[in-house]
This record gives sequence, structure tokens and C-alpha cells, in this order.
Amino acid sequence: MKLKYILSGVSLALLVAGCYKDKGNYDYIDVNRITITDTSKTALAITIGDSLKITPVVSQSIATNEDSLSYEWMVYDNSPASSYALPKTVISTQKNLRIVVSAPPFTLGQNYRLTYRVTDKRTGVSSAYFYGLTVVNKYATGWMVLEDKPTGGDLSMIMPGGVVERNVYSLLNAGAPIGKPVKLDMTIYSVTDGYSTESKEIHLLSENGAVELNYQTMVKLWDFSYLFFSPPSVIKPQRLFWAMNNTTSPSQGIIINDGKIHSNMVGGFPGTKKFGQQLTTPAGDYNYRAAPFVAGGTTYTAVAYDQIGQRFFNIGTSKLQTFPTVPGALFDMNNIGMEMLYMDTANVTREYNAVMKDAASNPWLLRFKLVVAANQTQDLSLQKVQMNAPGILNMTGIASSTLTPHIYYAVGGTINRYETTSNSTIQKFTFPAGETVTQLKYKRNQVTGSELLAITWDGTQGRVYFFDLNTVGDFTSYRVKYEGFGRIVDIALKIP
Amino acid sequence: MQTRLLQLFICSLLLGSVLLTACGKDDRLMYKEDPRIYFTKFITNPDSIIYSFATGSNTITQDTAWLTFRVIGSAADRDRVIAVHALDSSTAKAGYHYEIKNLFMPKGEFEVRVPVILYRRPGLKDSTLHVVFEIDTSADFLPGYSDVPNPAANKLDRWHYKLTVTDMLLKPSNWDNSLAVSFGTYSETKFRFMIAITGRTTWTGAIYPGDLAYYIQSVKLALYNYEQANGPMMDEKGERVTFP
Repeated sequence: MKLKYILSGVSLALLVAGCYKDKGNYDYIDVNRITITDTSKTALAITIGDSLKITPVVSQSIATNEDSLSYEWMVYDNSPASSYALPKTVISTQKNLRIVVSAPPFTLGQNYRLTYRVTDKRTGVSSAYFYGLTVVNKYATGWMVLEDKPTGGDLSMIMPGGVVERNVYSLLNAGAPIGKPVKLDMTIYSVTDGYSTESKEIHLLSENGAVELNYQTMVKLWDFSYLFFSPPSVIKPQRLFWAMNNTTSPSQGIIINDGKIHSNMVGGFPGTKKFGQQLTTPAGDYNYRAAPFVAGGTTYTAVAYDQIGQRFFNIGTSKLQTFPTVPGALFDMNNIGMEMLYMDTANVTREYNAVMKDAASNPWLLRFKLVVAANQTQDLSLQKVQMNAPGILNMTGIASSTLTPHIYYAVGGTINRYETTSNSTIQKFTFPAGETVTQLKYKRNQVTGSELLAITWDGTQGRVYFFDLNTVGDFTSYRVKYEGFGRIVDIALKIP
Repeated sequence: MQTRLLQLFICSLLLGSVLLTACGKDDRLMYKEDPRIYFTKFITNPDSIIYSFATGSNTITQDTAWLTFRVIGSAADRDRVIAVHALDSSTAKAGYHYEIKNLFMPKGEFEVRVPVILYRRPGLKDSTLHVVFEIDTSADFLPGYSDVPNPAANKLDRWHYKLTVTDMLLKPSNWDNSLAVSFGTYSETKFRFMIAITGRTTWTGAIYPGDLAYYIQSVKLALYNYEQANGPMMDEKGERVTFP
């Protein structure tokens, strides 16, 4: 009997013990946390044969020395068209990266993801830091100069350090002459066209053809005809333009060939996005001759001008379209009645300056916008003024500023600055006798200051002058000049 | 005392046998797969095919339409038999207007496209015939889903697939709700012209935007050139052929 009580007592004690509250009064031990920082750029353009040095800062939350740390620099091909199954390569196990860029694993033109991992060997806790690498060659950055030489078209490049690389196109593309060049068209945004690797594009247009170059290697990819589902019967390319109705990637391609407009949509949707046949006017005919200029906006992705009908067209994918006619507008986009001499971006995003000539040979400035909210007036016109710009009808070069309200134009050897707000012109610079300006180019740069480039020709050689512009678009003399070119047809800045 | 021992013995025996039964291994409750098969229904592969010999070359005497079957269950390490039969309401005759080839699910596969050979018989010049296939139970498969996945696009469930064959030029079923935006009002003259210019014979299903833009641009240019040479093109109803 007694035993029964004892057993019951013990059982009860055991059950009650289950109710004991765990106070958790034990200590947590802090783990040594690793932090990696790097104040320099994480997107790097690297060149085969060059050294790649990266010195990140590694800090630890507890440990004071780095004896227990291990390091790993791992890289894999991260190009848009590359397979996910490509190998990963450890290129260094040192704290700081010091390597010579070489193949393998690096290949010209490819993008790589570089992962820096630091591990505390005592705990296994690690931290990682990422870099994006693009393998470029020495032609990654610089001003590309398209020249018309007795031997045919060729490219030179003015490198960032001021060195001029000559005959770049013919050196890299022997056996593929481009003929008499007319235009250098480039986009610094990657185009998704469904038939080539997604990339920025360079097109060299010539009198009776064009070539597209690989943006990284500058090697010819294909002829003009390849851009079409079926090429036009007459090939006289004048303009190849990528319009963007957004801020990230081109959405519509425009080709002006022999005065006719071809259009295609590009982007991430399925299928091949080549160019088709020339577009009809809204009336269904082909009676138009497009000026070699294209304007782009968000409401109207791409806009061109017809020199025969003397009107603007909104470029669709199946035809050219009209604009809404707005009573009280400064001008009707569908009926301008003047000849277009020039059109380019104005100093406000999505606003354009068009320099026109009327029937009485007076110059006019038409300013318009291509962005308009659906619930607002559809009037695109902003300004219409007869230009007080001496000699502009005979201009030999012209460039519109995208920061200040100015249009720079050259007549013979003199550069003038026209101000759109005050409708006045100042003569700014005159070149030595015998030198004629053949083109002006405006290079916007809000940080380090914009530049105006003047291309000249004296009958034997072409020169490029760089003028630094101040914040109000003013300049006195040029900073530097480069000489010894053939007759320069066009110039464009290439970035990696 | 003896009774007490006997009781203890019996109790131990009972307890022991109860304990021992716990050591027996129980059969595990396993899912037994029940393979089934059904017709896939996608935007580009809806629940019927309308095939017309008239959009192709005159020299073609036979062509192939495809039935796509998909398995519910695992792939097998052997070919498996699929069974279908034509509904009595079908007007096309098996072996004369059409013939199904290779009706099996290959080993290791979940999906198969089975060819149906269509024959260009003289009677198709003025008539449109059809056959509706229904999935049967076979040695390897039971019929799969019997639902209609998208009532807006599908009239038939996933046990059935309809094949229509003719040698007459038919208005594509997607003309009014899709192609009309790009090509305007349908006429047989216009459709023959579109086929001749673009070379495209199948206009139902998805057409990629880049291709569609090219077709529109091409037929407009071709019609313009035709009109420059011959004047307006008139269709079978006496209306002028135009594109928007």
C-alpha cells in the first residue's frame, strides 16, 4: 500500500517537472561578420592582355587579424546569349586581385560576373561582393571618325588619351570595302532584334550599301540587305535610327533608304524583327521623299518629314500616319509647307528643333514636342519664328545643343551660335582661310562640360576641333585639334 | 496458487503475443500510377485544325496535320499504345481522306505529335469534311482531363480534337477578331493575293509581330504596284481590294 503512494508521488513529481519553465539563461556568442566594400566602379571594361587589379576593403566585426580568412575570386560568362551551364572559374585565391586578362576564361566581347568571396575558416561564415566585367578591345572607347578617302571609306578613332588610330575599319575588315561613306549611325543602347546577339549597334552607311559592325570587336557582321526580310530594290541608305519610347531600350527601328521609310518594332517579344517594305503615306501611296532626320518621343515614337508633301509623318509599323490637327496651334504638323534643312534634339528632352526654308527662301525655326498627355491638348507646336540667323540657308555644318537653347551652325569657315529664346545670332569662331567646316557635332556632358566638335576640310586633309562649352553654351577657342584625316563624313562617340 | 500461476501464464502469453504482433512488417500504402492521356490545347494549337489544300501549291496531293497528345503521369521505358476513334458524326473517311500514323507514346516521352496524313481527293474541291477524334481507353492509357480549359477559345474538351479538311479556300477562323485589324474586310480574292505575295499558307494561330508587320507592308506595296499596272483589283463581290 505504502509502495502505491510512493509510486504515485514519484509519477506526480515527474509530471509536474514537465511544467518547469526554461528560462533560457545561456549565452549567445557573436559570429565574426565580414563586410566587403569597394569605392571604385563595379562595372569594368577590361582588355585582353591588360592587367586587372582590384583592391577591395575587407572589414570584420570581431577579429582583428586576417589569419583565419580565405579568399576566392570566381568568374563566369554572364553574356545575354550565354548558357547557364557554362563553367565557373576561380581565377585567384589572394586577398587582392592581380591577374593578366587572358583567354581562357576571358573572350573578347563577352560579359562576365566576377564574385569575390571572403570566408572565415573558423565558422564557415562568408560574404560576397560582385563585379560586372566586359571584355573589350582597344577600340572600346573613343571618337569614331568616318572618312571618305581615295581608297574608299574607312574609320579612324581618336582614343581617350589623344592617340589617333588610323585605318581601323580596313585593318580589321580587309577585303570588305564599304564604298563611298555617307553616315555613321550608332546606338549606345542594346537592340533586341531577334536575329543577332542583343548588343549596341554600329552601322556604316555608304552610297549603295551599309555594313553593321560588331560593337565590341568592330569586325563586320553583315551587309545592309541582311537587315531586311526582303531588301528594297534600290539601296541608298541615308539614316538608320533606333527610336525609344522609354528610357531603357530601343522600341522601333527606322531606316530611311532612297527617301523611303522602313520601320520595325524591336524588343523582347518573340520572333525575328527585321525591316520590311517601305511604308505608305496615310493616303496609301508612296509619293514622298523623307528628309534624312528622325525625331523620337514617347507619345509619338518616331517622326519623319516629307520634303514633297512638306509635312511631318508619325511613323507606324504598317504605314505613315497623320497627327491630330489642333485649332490655334502655331503650325499644323500635317501641313508645314516648307523644306526641311535640319532637325535634331532641342535642350529639353523629347523636344526638337527643325530648321526650315520657306518658298521665299526665308529660314524658320519650328520647335515641337513629341510627348503629350492624353487628357491635355494635342498641340505639339512650341515655337515658330523666322530665324535671325545670317547665312543659315548656306550652312555647311549644324548642331543643336541639348543643354542650352542654342543651335550652332557654320557657314564656310565661321561658327555661329543662334539662340532660340532671343532669336539672335553671334559669330563665335573663324578658322584659317581655306578651311571649311563640313560638320558640327554637339556632345552633351553635364558633369565635365559639353563639347562642340567642328569637322573641317581644306581640300587635302580633314581636321577635328574640340571646343569646350561652358554651362551657358559659350566658348572662345578650341581645346585641341586632330589632323591628317581624309574627308570626314561623320563622327560619333563610342562608349564600352 | 496453481490458479494464480495459470492466470499469470495466460496473461503473459496474451501480452507476449500482442507485443509480437507489433513486430510484423506492414505493407506500405503506395500510390499506384494510373496513366492517362489527353489532347493539349494551346493558343497556337487550339482544339481544331482547319486545313485547306487551296492555300498551297496545285501539285500537292497530300499533307500532314498533327495531333498533340500529352501524358498525365510518368514517362515509361517502353512505347505505349494510344487509342482514338472517330465520332460517328465525322464526315471524312479514315483511310481515304486521312490516315493516322505512329499512334503511340514513344518511350521516355511525355508528349507526342502524331501525324495525320491528309489526302487531296477530288470531292474536296466543293466540300468541307471533318473528323472528330475521341480518346479511347487503351492497354496503357485511360482518357485524361475531360474539361474545357478555355471556354473562350475551345469548343471541345481535352478528350476530343477536330480536324477539318477541304480543297476550297476558307476564310481563316481568326480573320474577324484578329486579321481584320491589319488586312481589312475579307474576300477570297484578297486572301489569295495575300498568300501569293507573302508565301504564307497558314494564317490561323499566332503570327509574330515582326512577321505580321512585314506581311502588311508587303501586300500594300504589291497591291500598289498591281494598281499602277492594272488599275484597281476587284474581288469576287465586285468590291475594290484595299488594305487599311
